[in-house]
Amino acid sequence: MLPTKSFLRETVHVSPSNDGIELRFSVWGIELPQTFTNDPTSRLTAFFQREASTSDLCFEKEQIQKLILLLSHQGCLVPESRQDTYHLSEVKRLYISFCNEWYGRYYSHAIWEAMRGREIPISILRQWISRTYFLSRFAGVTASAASLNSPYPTVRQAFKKSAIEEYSHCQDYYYPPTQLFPESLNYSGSIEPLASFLAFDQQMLYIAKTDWLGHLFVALFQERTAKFRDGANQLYSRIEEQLGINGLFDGWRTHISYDEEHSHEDDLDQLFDQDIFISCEQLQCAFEEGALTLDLLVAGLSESFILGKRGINPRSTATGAAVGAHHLSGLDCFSGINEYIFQETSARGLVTEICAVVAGAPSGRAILEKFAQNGSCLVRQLLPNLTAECLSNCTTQNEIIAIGRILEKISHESAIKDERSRFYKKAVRVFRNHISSKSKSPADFSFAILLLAKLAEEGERLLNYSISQKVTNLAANNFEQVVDLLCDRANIAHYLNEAFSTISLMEFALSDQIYESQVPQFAMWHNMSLQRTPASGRP
Amino acid sequence: MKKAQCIKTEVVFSTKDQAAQEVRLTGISPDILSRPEQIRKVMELLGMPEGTEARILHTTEDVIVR
Repeated sequence: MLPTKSFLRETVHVSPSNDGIELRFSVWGIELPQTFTNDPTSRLTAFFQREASTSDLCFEKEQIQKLILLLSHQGCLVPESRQDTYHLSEVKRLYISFCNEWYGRYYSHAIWEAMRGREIPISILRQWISRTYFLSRFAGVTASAASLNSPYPTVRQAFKKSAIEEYSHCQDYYYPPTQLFPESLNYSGSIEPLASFLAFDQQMLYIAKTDWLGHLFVALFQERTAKFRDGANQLYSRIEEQLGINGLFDGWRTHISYDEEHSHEDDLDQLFDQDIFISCEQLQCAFEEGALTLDLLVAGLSESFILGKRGINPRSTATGAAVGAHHLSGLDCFSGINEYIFQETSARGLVTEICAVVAGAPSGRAILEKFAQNGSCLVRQLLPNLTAECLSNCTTQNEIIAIGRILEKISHESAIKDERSRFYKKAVRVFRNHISSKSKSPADFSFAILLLAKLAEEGERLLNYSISQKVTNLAANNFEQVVDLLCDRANIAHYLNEAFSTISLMEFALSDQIYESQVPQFAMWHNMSLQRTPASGRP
Repeated sequence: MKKAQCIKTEVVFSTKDQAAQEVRLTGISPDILSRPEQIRKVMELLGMPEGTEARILHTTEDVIVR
């Protein structure tokens, strides 16, 4: 049914074309002949200028009615007014707009132009294959979390089915092929995810636990792309031809068929058929969380593309104190270092040594200074709640006493709210989710905080901060003792990989695409950006 | 193994104020109408006037795995 009182969305771009007018939305553009707009009695031009609603077009001729129907079903319209509550069928209609807007952003990314090239750089291919593997690897984890945390049995059941059907696909279909990840390139062990991949996974887990609707939005956004199989299969064939490796993507092809045969999209789509009402505030939060998550998904394309263009391959996992360029690839803090043997044998000593190495690396200094100036204050205000989360996971007396004492010392920090965190929501969330993921292990949690604290101190030292300027205290002294107490001295390789992972997240959170940019806002009603206040105060 | 469902339905469009002005589409999934990559098909189904042209600005090169 044609919705009454709806306006054209701001995300529909209207511009004059050679013989009429062009509308652009999502992945398409439509050129309309002048016959649409040359009637002086028509309100269509006013509609295109967002000065008239669909209600003003009721008596327009049939061709205009059909155009409005098309725009409506493609999600180009936005209701005039806010509602206090939304039935799920109404949520679905808004969701189509949300989904199609984000397909436009996702598929207009520059990486796809490179993927259409005759010779796709091999490093871009490796990063893209690695990204697909990690997307698959965490799908079962987040689906399982959603199967426990949704308030509705049907949603829990749908995601339990999804978890069972998805958890092994990283191994069954998407494991990076040895032809592209050979031992000769030091891929004898496992590969490490880029920070953007981790950030997406961790944010998906966050919403699977805290926002069932936002999680459904993103999961269905992914599943709906099974319909793009023709484009995908053509891409896979072109790459196989370029590399001269027939059948390289057979597993990927099989997986698309698997998703369709197991009706993964329908399973999630049907969840919108329930008789459930959602408050406006909850729906607004779900769209905000979904948008932040998809923004991180797109950031994964950007990071893959930027590194791949520079000939940087996915990082391989460190297996000892001696590291090579392949263990450090993509980490700006270690740029210019081709090999290094860490001498320290304790986790605490390793932190000190890493900070010294980073401070001496060509790009390290700038990153440390930026973290000291802009990043550590964001982390500081997250610490009380994250330390409490870590304490909730402690089991031994040593862990409970050590983490409990830190919580006691820093609990007053919860009252401190840094105004900057409102403007750097993405960076705050990336830090929060990453540190939260460490809180399952009090040793790993303490190590990550000590590392960030010492990196901030190193940045302050490089900036020649006076004592009064050192506002970024992350309670490093407290964590030094805890790291000594809880971290296993025999496992240096583990802590090296933990350090590289945390440093890559820090670099990512401080990058322009995260630190300096805002998540595109989704309009639930006309002129929402002029009327609304953020529904979510969550960090 | 559950087979993918083939949904056949009749889709009716009408405006609230003009019940007489209806467009009936029989035998297709309503889902197709919301698919941005199917814009040409949607225009064909809805019968856009001559001179109206659609083009795909960004091809959907790959699925998004989960």
